[in-house]
Amino acid sequence: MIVAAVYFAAAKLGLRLAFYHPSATPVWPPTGIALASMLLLGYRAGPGIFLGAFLANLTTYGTVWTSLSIATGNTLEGLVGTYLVNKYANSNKVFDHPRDIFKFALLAAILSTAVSATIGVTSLALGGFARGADYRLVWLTWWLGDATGALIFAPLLILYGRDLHLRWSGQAMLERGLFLVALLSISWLVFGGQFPFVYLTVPFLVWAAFRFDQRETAAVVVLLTLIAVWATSRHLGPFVGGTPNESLLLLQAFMGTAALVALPLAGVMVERRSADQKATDLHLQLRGQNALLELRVRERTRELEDAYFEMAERLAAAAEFRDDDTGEHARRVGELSAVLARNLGLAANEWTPRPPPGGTS
Amino acid sequence: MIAMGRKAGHLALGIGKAAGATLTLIPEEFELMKTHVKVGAGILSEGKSGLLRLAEEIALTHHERWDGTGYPVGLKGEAIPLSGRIVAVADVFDAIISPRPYRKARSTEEAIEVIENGAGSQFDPRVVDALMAHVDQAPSRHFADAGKI
Repeated sequence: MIVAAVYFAAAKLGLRLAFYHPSATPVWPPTGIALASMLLLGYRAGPGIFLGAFLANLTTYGTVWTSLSIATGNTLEGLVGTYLVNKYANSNKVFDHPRDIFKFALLAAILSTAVSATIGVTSLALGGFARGADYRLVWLTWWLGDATGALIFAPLLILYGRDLHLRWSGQAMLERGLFLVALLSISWLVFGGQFPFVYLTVPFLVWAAFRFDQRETAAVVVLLTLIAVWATSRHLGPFVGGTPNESLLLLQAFMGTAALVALPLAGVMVERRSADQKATDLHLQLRGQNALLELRVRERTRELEDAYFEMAERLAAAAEFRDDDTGEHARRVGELSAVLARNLGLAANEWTPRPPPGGTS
Repeated sequence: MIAMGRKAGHLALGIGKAAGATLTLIPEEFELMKTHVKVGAGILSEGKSGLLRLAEEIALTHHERWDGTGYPVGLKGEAIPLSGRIVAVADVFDAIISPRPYRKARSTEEAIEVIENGAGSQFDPRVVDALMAHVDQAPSRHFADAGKI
């Protein structure tokens, strides 16, 4: 039910971004929602997606039949994408390794979305809502809109869905604040038309990937996407082309590139950080082991020393067995000698052996 | 030195005296008995550890006398290792206050008198002073158990 509501809301919002045909938008966030909810919750999210898609279409335009058909396409798209990612790209850990991210782009974003586009546009054409001559063009925008929706929104939802906990220190907050101010300023320059060089946004993607975690990088990609779409729909910024269709393609190329640069880079950084952590952990473990070994050695040395003195005393005791008279006598002489040595002011280790006098051996 | 010395003295006397006792079945043969020092030192000789070398030194020199008339070498004064000089005093003192098969134990006072008389001739006067200081401090402590063997 929650999935249905979220899907419905996202679809309604997504439709407002459309500027060529009401059902063909530059980016279709519900595709990302469908993929993320099924990868996180399993296939049981399917009915919710179907319901949300059906209601969204029904309340926008068309008949019950086209809406049912489009909703089937949307649900099937999510099912196929989820199946492929589960099978070939490490399921909902798909963004942990760059290799899986590229697989995700191919399987979920490019392959499975063709399902929805084909079913959806065919339904519209059969229902008479799109002209047959437009079929190819509408299919292409539908497909690319779904593909970018998957590429941009699924990472955000899956990454935050797996871990919502924020760990920001004061310094981290400051850096994120600075980042946001700088990003918005640059966006205003680029998309406000003052300085239409879109590659100026690339350093921000790299900044996010290197300094923030992967979830935040995904959020930056979404933010940049929304800004670009919003600006272009108002005929602002570098993506405004000769025809609406040209604008769409430029915009989608930008969004796809941004996602495919930033997410793998962030993934590599995550791997690197965890490798660093592992190395540090191992180093600490080694130091602990060394300290323990040293302690053991010291203990054993003490034991050996004790055993050595004890053996010497036992040897003396054994020798005394021969001689009852001097047995206790020898022990007491040893003790008295020690007292006299102390009274003479001798300290431990003060004795140094001399060569035996008179050459006795 | 003190902890090790106690053990070394114990070891030296233990082995040295045992060797001596074996040789003094006929106590009249004093010359023969003198060799117990060398036998004891021989058993302890060529040790590598500090403890054994100290024990050897003690076994060899605790029958030397301050005036040079002792045995086995006849070393005189400071030429006798300090360890030997200390054990010489302790050995005689304890021997006097211990019972022997052929005589009873004598008193601490008698022992002190013998040692004091030997200061400068048989014993190093400094070591004798050290003994007196000890006896003054704890007159009864050391020798409370001397009577029982």
